[in-house]
Amino acid sequence: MNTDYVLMKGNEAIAEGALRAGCRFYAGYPITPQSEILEYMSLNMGKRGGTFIQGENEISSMSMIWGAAAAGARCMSSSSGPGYDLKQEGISYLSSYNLPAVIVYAMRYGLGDGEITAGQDSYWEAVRGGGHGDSRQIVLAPASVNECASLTYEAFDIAEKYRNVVIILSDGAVSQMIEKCNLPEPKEHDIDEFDWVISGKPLGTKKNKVTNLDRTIGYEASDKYVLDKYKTMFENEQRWEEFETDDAELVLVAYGISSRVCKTAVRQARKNGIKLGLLRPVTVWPFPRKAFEKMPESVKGYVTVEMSLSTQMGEDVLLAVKHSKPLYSYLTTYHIPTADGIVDYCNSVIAGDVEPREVI
Amino acid sequence: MADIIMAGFGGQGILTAGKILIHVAAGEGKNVSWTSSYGAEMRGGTASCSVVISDEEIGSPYPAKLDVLLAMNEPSFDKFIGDVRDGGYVIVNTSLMSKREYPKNVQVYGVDATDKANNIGNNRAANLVMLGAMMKVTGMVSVDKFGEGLQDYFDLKGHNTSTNIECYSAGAEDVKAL
Amino acid sequence: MATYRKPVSIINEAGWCGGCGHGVVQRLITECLEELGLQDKAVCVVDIACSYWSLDALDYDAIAGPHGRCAAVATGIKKVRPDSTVYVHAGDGSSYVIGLSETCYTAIRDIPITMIVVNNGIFGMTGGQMNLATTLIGDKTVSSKEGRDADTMGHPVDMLNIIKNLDVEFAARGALYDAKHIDETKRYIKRGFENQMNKKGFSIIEVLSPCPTNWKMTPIQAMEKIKNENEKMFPVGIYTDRGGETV
Repeated sequence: MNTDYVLMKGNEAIAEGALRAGCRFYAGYPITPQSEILEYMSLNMGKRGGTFIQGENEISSMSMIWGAAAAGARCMSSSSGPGYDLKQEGISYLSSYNLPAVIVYAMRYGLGDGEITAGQDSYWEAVRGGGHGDSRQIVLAPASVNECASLTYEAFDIAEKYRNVVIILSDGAVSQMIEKCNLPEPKEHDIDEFDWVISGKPLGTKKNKVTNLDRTIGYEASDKYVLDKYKTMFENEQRWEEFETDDAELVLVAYGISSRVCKTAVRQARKNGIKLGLLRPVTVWPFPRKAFEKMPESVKGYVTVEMSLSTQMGEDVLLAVKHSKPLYSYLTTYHIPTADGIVDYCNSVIAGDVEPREVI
Repeated sequence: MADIIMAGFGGQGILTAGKILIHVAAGEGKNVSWTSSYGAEMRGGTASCSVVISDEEIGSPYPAKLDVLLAMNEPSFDKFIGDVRDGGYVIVNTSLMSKREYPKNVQVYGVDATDKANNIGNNRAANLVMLGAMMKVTGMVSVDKFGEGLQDYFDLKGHNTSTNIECYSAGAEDVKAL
Repeated sequence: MATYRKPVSIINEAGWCGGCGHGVVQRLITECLEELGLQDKAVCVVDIACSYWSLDALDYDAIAGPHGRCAAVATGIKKVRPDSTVYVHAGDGSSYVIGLSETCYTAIRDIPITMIVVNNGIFGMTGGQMNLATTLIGDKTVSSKEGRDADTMGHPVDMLNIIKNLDVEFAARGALYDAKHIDETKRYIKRGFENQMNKKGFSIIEVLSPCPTNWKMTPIQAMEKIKNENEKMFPVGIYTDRGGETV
């Protein structure tokens, strides 16, 4: 029996996972449903010898991250919805000099103020975002409290490996739920590990100028560096989980909270002889295209289950299968999907009562 | 394996009752999940949390059909009673229920949780009275064992009092079929 | 005794316009750092505006803040590297307009950095638009062509009068229009670095500085304008000094 667990919220697991990864700088601003991250950091960061700052806004918090990351610290910020919009400026800056940092996006539903409850309709913003300019961020989507801790812990290594921003894409449900969590071993990070940091160095030695990378090494070298890096990340970092896909006729594609419900739906459907499977992207960028290449011949179509108004992730599914299979989307907006609802929808798909999704 | 919703109004300790339940169930080696209503869902006065206890990996932490409903006031009962599966358990706080008919397809039990807690002198512990009733009725965990886990929960929090277990035990003793 | 040796920290040319005050400010910063022996631990934070030129001109580790966010960037660095000498060289648009919040909250947090703000009453890098905080009433800019009008554009504001009430270590304003004032400005900047060296709090030094290009004046006319007009609205001197010593 596993006795090493703690019971904690997804948000707390994200914060503790970061601290155990050696994150020693956090700056952020409160917004539901991620405020427990900030609160947890306010209580615990000082005990680990790090800095917690409740910023005057998200923009300044990200600027502090820009400075702290350039100085070599493992650092993190977190937000949601309108707050995350403001973080995009900082993500663009971090990407301009290829600084590593981990940014948490606990999605809430809707435009503008929207709802403070769970949603997945900021998928595009998280996956295609990164602020102005042309950049990619690795986006990890935990579906359990355990993954909140383990993926955040690992995110710092990935961020440094590629010198890139990594996004933890959670939602109001995963962030707010309590489950058993096995916490990773604490470790420390050396702020002088990398040669690109700014620290204050003797005259006559090599200095770092933290600004757009092209201003230092030229556009040609910078463009090549960045494109090569994105390609490597795309090749190396695709992660996913498969559930009952071996003989599936219809494969559900879902991440985060929706994927949890999908798993229940698959079990339920299979009891009634309906061959559903689940493909759960763990990285939503890079989207796990390799998983689709390996899907069995039995698969007749894909159904994305998304808490959004439009088919968002479905676009990536169509790209992954090169439009070779029909795509359906079960979209539940601000409602958490139910297993019954998913199974009913899939029955309609199988019966031919649902038109495939057109992506506009 | 149980899908549970606990509901009441803010301040009745609903979320804590759920946390105590998962603390004990997790200690018994079960997988557990706890989710709460917050924000816009909460407007209108009903606070609730969903608890899933399972030997298997937990899929959806939001149960569709309930094995147990613990309702600490009447609006909560009305809101969730339709979600209880046939034969499921419903425990109501009769201190805050009007005289009414209960559905026959479920097993309804009641305890004067608010009054009991007030009489014992811990007016914030009606939730513990309800937990006592729930353990007695469902046998999910034995009454004694759950009581130990409950004490452990408050000890870890650093604010246990003797009236906690007293309220809990009163719930187990006084619960009645309705 | 003042030194006439060019600071060895300056290793590249900067691209400031003729008669601009930024170069003088950069020189004063480097002289102070070298005289205090801090040149080997200096980290320079410039803004995405005219001060950006200093990024490559100096033999220091340096970072360009997002426009307006220099004080927040410096906060991040100083917290991670408390033994480094972290300073901001930014303009008044950055520090007092778009970055007002960052500047004030860095002051409120009393972050032990040295912040040097160039007050030239204009947005220089973007072509000479009005600065809400520092363009004088009646001054003509490309976005106040008839002259700044208080009824529609509000009054300029003396930010040091606000910042001095935020319990900071040191706040002072200098000017560059003659040798005496340049010397005084240097003493203020040096004090700002000494405070950081001595682990004291937030120091801000504002410098009244000419922008002949955007003011459409000769450098000498620009100096005269500062002396006769800008200094009246923005008096030089020490606004607050927690140490209470004379500078």
